[in-house]
Amino acid sequence: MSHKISNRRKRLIDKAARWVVTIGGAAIIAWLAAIFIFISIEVYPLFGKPKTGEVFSFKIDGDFRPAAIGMDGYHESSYIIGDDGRVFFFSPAGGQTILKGLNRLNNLKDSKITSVSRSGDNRELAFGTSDGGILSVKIKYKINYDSNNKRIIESEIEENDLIQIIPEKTPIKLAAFGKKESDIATAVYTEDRRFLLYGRKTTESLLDGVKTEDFHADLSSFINDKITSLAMDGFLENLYAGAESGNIYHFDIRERSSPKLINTVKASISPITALSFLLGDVSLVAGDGQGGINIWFRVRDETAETGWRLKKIHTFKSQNGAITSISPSIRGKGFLTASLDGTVYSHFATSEQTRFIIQHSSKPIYMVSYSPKNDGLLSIDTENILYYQTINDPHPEISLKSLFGRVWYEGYEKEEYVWQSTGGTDDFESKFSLLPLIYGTLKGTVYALLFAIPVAVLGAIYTSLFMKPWLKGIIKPVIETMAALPSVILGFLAGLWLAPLVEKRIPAIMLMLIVLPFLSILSSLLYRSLPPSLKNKFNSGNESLLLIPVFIFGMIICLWMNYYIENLLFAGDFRNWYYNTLGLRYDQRNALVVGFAMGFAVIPIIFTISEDALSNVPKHLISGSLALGATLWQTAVRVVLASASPGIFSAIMIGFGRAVGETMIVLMATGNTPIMEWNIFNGFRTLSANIAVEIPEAPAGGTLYRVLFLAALLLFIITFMVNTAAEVVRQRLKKRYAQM
Amino acid sequence: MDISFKIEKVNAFYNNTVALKDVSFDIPEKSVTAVIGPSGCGKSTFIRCLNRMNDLILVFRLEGRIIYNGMDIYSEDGDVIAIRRQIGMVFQKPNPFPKSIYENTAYGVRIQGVNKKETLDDVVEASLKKAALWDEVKDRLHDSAFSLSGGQQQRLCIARALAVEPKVILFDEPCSALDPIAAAKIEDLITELKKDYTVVIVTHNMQQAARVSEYTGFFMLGELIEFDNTQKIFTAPSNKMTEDYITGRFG
Repeated sequence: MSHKISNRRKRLIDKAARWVVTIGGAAIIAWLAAIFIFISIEVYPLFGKPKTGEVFSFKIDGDFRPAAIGMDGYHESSYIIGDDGRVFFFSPAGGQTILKGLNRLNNLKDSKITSVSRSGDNRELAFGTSDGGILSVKIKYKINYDSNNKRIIESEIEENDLIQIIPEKTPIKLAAFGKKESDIATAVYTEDRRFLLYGRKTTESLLDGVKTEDFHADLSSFINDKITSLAMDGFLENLYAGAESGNIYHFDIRERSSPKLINTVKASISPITALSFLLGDVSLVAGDGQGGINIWFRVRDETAETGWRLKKIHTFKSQNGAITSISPSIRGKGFLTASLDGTVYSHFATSEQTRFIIQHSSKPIYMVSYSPKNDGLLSIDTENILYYQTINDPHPEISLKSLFGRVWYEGYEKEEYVWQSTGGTDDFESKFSLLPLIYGTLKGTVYALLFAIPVAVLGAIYTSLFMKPWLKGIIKPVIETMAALPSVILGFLAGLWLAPLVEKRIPAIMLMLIVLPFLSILSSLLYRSLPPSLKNKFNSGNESLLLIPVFIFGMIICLWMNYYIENLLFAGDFRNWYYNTLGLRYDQRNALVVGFAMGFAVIPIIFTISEDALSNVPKHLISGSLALGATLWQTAVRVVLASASPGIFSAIMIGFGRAVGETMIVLMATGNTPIMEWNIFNGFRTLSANIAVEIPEAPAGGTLYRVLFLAALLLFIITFMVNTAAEVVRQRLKKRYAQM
Repeated sequence: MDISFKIEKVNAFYNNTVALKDVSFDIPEKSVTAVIGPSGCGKSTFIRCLNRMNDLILVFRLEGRIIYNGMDIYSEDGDVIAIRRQIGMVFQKPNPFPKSIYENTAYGVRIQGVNKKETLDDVVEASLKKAALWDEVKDRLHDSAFSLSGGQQQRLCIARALAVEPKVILFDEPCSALDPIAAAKIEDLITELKKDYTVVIVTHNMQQAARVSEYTGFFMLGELIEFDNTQKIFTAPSNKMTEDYITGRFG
């Protein structure tokens, strides 16, 4: 009876144990899957399609053409200004006029608006009038809260004095207006084809009080072409004119009274119908009469007279009719274009993408305007029907090309892989190329493994096959303890102690790479020729200890020679010589230092696992080889290494995984420069260090935040793939070298 | 009868434990000499002394002389590599290397620096034929050695030992891990080999010793109790202990 019970208990325990093990294994897999899914969820929106909301449309009554449209950041107050000077404020979603409808711009007097120059946010406008004047106005939104704490937007318009630019009062067909502190510049093109530049400088001094100075220049003589569009940058230095011939003329207007035509490019075969700067006033968007949209900016070019040349950088999807209006975003390098075919396209410059296409009307769209937060747009067609729509496109700068391809960024001479997520200014173009980071990760790993694999594997071979047991009993635990050293300490030592030390002793270190192996061979030859009586003091297996003084001696000699070599070969300073003769930079924190430090972190893992694998090779195989007259060394290479190869291979792969994911050492010892150079004396930035460096700069849910998650996902995938590949290879090797 | 090994007053120690005590006898050439005795009697230690396989054991120490070919193999200038090339060994458990049948057989020749394919082919074929394995494996020479059965693996180990052209082959209980049919094949092979080689075999199996050997040495507690013609040992041992062991009174 008792026998039966004990059997049942045994079975129960057996079952319970099996369940616990199964649940444990499944939990690990589930946990890994959960991490993977969580990261993927954070990354997914980067590649999501933009969403556009419902279109609200309503007709604005009255006999006028629109001169300007725009709205506030909350979509609560939009304005439309007619060419007759009337201003409407309304709520775009509802359509009803909410404030000051039908009041007219006072300073316009009896003239009509014939042209407009808009700032990026559509709040500062300058109108060219039929009487040859320029009237600049400012749209103001005041936020107040009522007694219920409900937000109230109060909109108003502030007019400046009309500046009479054309004394003859000819209508201004095109205007480009710019204002920088107290400096004003206006370029106008009149109905009688005159192209004029007007400037006003206001200086204020204690002695003279306010003083204004006016400049005039006539640009008509430069161009024998009909101008169809104008754009002036915010620095009031460059003026671009698009013409009927498809040319873009670039004027240097730094000297207001004597502007120069410095560049003419053939941009299109049809007229340039719209020109606008993107945020930052570097990229110039040009739309032409056939719906083509291109981005141009100036690129350094030694062959050009001015050292710069206007180049076509990006080309976007064409619309089916002439481009009528361009509205740049004030939050990035995005912009909207409207066309005669009734469509509005949304583009993003950096990623060279057309994000979405909307057909608002069957009639030509006359004008388009982005909301300040890029979450909505207004457009108006030739029938005076206004369209309002919300947009949700939070990550337009991300595409596979902008993450992994070469991109031509503003201010660069060619397409490049660059990681630079944030800059000092709001108009900074974020550069999210992950390639420099992947490159850096591999670079760090390769240099660490270059150092670690020979040391660890050869050390393991010596320890397991040749070393005396008592010595092995000391060495192995010591090396294993190395693995317990926090990597932050290694990083700290590498960055702050080793890097400056190495910097001054590069010739010595290079010399050591030659001298130390040479010395060890030389000393073992010497040892061989020692008389047996002396040799017996170091029985086989202990003689390696003799190498320690040899190595110390070699290192001292190399360090001592450093000064002489540097003087003899490198003109006294290796870093200067390196820069002057090879044209390469020497970074204090570089791949060599990381190779040492990270190698130090990886050696214990590779050593321990390799040593175990080698020690587990059955003794009878070693005996079998020795009995055939093989030397211990032949046995080690031909039998033991082959049998232990699956284990050594997995040791190296685990070391690889450790090096790929290592953060603190590379963070502290690389300088974190995201460059793509294999040069051992340059730093780099790894995916893992990048996450650590940039997390404080990344607001949750933002593009950078999600790109960092993407970096994490890549890291996850790289280690996962390497480990899987390693396991497959290991299983194959194991099969091939299977033990009985 | 020519002498192959002259063993003179050999004492062997592991640390301070005595493993062999004052062993002296001669092993004749081109014959099979069996070494028998109960477990722990030192017979394995003894056979491993003959090609210095005990060198691997750090605490092992030997006194006395083992003269092979007129030279003390334990002398200061004894070249252990050359000794092992002349005195091959087959172990208790088949221990092929994790390589192909071909590479296993060619191993001993390769480590001597021979890499010419024709030479290696000849050596492999001749050795496998001598080990009576050729017909079974000639079509799959490049398969893993582990694809062979236990008996075949043991014959492969014999072929491997023959390939380096030794003069002596030591067998350390070569059949103890094999089934009777495979063991019988090995025994036949040993009988065949004695025409050209000096064979020393350690065995637990007294029938085997009686079947294959011409001379037998009986060891007990590290001492050689009796060495003589196999016939004589098994029919009329001169020592009481030998008789007791052979008749199965202990062991």
